Order: sequence, then C-alpha cells, then structure tokens
Amino acid sequence: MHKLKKIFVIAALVVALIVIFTPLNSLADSSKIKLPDVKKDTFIYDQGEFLNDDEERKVNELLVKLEKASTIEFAVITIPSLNDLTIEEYANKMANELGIGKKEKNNGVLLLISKTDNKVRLEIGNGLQGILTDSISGRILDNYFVPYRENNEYDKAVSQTVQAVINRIASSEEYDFSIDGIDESLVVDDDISGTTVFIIILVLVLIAVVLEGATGYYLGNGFGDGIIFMLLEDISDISSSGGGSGGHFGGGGFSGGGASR
Amino acid sequence: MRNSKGVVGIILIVIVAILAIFGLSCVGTYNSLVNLEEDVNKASAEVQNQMQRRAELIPDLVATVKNYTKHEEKIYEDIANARAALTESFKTGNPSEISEANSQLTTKVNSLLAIAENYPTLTAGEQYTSLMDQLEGSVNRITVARGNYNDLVAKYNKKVRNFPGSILASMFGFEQLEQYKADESANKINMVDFGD
Repeated sequence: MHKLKKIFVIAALVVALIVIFTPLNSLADSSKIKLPDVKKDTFIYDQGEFLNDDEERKVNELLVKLEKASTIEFAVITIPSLNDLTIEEYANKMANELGIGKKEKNNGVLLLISKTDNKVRLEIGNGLQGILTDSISGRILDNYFVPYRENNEYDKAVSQTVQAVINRIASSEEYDFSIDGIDESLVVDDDISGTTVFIIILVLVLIAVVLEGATGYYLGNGFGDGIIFMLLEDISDISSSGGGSGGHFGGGGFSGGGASR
Repeated sequence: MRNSKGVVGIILIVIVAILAIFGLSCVGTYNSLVNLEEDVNKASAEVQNQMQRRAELIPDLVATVKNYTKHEEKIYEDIANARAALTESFKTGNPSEISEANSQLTTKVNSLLAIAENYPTLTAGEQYTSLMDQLEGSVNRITVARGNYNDLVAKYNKKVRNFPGSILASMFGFEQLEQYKADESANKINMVDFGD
C-alpha cells in the first residue's frame, strides 16, 4: 500500500511539473520578412539575386570602410519579393530586427531593393535623420537610383546611391572622414526652407528623448506562454532591466524616417 | 512509516516552493505592470508627437499650393479646422478620437493634393517633391509609432488579463487600454509616380 501511494504521489508531481513547464500556446510568429544570414564585414546581401558579384564586392568595400571610419552601419539588401507588404513596413521591420547601426548611436542605414515590385527605400536610423532627412533621402533616390533602375542597371543604381549617401554624411558637421575610391561629385543640394529645418531638429530631439525605451520592446515578445515561463518572466521583472539584442549588427533603431521610390 | 513521512516532506517542500515562486511573481507582476504602463505612456506621447509633426508640415504645403491657385479658399479653412481639432483630440488621450481627428486631417490634405495635381508645373518642382517626401515620411513615422504603441498595449493588456496580473490589476486599478485601429482614410498620400 505504501509503495502504491508513493508511486501515485510521484506520478502526480511529474504530471504537475509537465503542466507547469509546457507552453500553453507557442508563439507562432510567421515572419514574411526574409532576413539575411548576417556575416562579419558583410554589408550587402543580394537575396533577390540580381546584382553582379564584382560590383557587390566593390560596394561592400566602401561600406566596410564607412563603418571603420565612422561606426555607421549601412546595409544594402535586395529581396525577391515584398510578400504583399509595403516597402515601408518591410524596410522598417527588417532594419529594426537586424538592428542595423550601433545601439547607442542608432546610426544605421538600410537601402532595400525589390526588383519584382519595382520598389526601393532608404530607411534611415534615428541617429542619422538629421543628416539624411526624408527630403534628402528622396532626392538621392531621384538623382542616383531611379534613373539607373529605369535602364535596368541595378548595379550602377546601388553604387551611385551608396556613394551619394556617404558623401552626404561626410559633408555634414557631425561626421569628419574621407574614404578612398568614392566619386565625390555625387551630391544633392540642400535647399529645405529654414522653418522646416528648425521644426525637424526640434522634433528629432523630442523623438530621441521619448524613444529610448520603446525600441527595446519592438523586437520581441518573450519566451512562451507556459505558466513557469510567465512566472520566471515576472520574477525577472523585479529588477526591471531592458533586453539586449544579439546578432552581428549593433542594435540600432529606426522610427520610420527615409524615402521610397 | 518512514516512507510516508519522506513523501509528506517532499510534498511540503514543493508546496512551499510553489508559494514562494508565486509570491515573487506577484511582486514582479506588479512592477512589470507599472513599467509597461509607463512605456505605453511614452509610446502614446510619441504617436502624438509624430501626428503633430505631420500637422506642422502642412502650412508649407498650403503656401506652396496657394502660389499656384487663387480660388480654393474653402479647403484652406477646412485644413485649419482639422488641425485645430487634432490638437483638441490629444487632450482626450483616447486612441479612437485621436485617430478620427488624424484621419479627418489626412482626408482634407488629400483634397488639397488632388487640387495640386491639376498644376503639373507645381507638382514637378523640387520644392513640392521635397514637401511630399517629408509628408510621406511623417505619415510613415506615425504608422511606426502607432505600431509600437499597439504592441506595448497588447503586452500590457495580456499582463492585466492573465494570472496573477488580473488580481493585482483590480487591486491597484490597472485597466485595459485601447489600441489604435488602422487608419482607413489614407494609407498613402497620392503621389506622382516616378517609377517607369
């Protein structure tokens, strides 16, 4: 009789443990975003497979130099399709999930291209929106991407656009560097009206202040919905700390600035 | 006899452990409810900031279009009223009302843009393109800010409804919050298509 009781109790405990540890729902988050497999010193990912390998290598060299000279992470990513998302949604999610740019500086740029959808977007990280404003981003795309895209010269479009963006950053007051192998004649004018500039700067300061915590939550949801996981999550909240993000890129944030064509 | 005492001992230990974990999780839950509520407030302020920023770009757009058209007085009045209504709606702090006011403004701005489309020399100019990029960028930022806010509210609401959050929530007055619905009025401002 004792033995039976013992077995029964142990069995009950085991069942209890299983119930506690089993997630109630799995977080089925099927992502439509095709994230590249990030590798060291690689800033260009041709997932859409329409760029020339040699050109890719040349552009990547520039981007590597850019990062070394300024800590800015500028990624060029092509995709086979937008999967019914708008390019704004796709670019913003991708940039935030990859965490392009250094975490403290949010100095990331994403040039996202879909040939099949005929869409391109420059998504600018929070820390660079003063230099690469929406307006300037649009102008860069108009002058240096669209004309070549119309001739199906995507390699040239990418190369020119990348250089124009780098030139723009280099000519700003915040950044002082120069990179070999860039055509410094690729520039855009800055003729935004004075009031607009003032408003933009004011709002950017507000954004910087208000956004510091939000980007952490954008990235993830937690472990699972099993009771013990929820309890563990709650216990860890006693010492409320933020989450980190791993991956190769630095963890920079994006609030939706930039331009599309 | 010894056997059953051992088993009782184990059961007691397990019960105490479970109570301890439960107690700790209550403290943790309360803290996380507070933190989440604060994050939601931040995110809410961000949404309003972005809407405000978009509203402030509009006078430039109006001025640009006015240079070309002499007769369309009513739309300028409508836009001014819509901007004022948006600022008023911020005071309610209610996502539905704020969304509604923002949509109204978007609708009026779209009317203005439709008028502008009649003047190709206007819409082809760099000044106009620059404004359109800024407007689109602004609307995009509103979308992102709304998305962040909704994600946070979802997380917060889950905590409020789950166990043991539901108990703490009713004890300390944490209420479920409302999310922003998608803006039906216009996902995209009409823009001259530069592609092919």
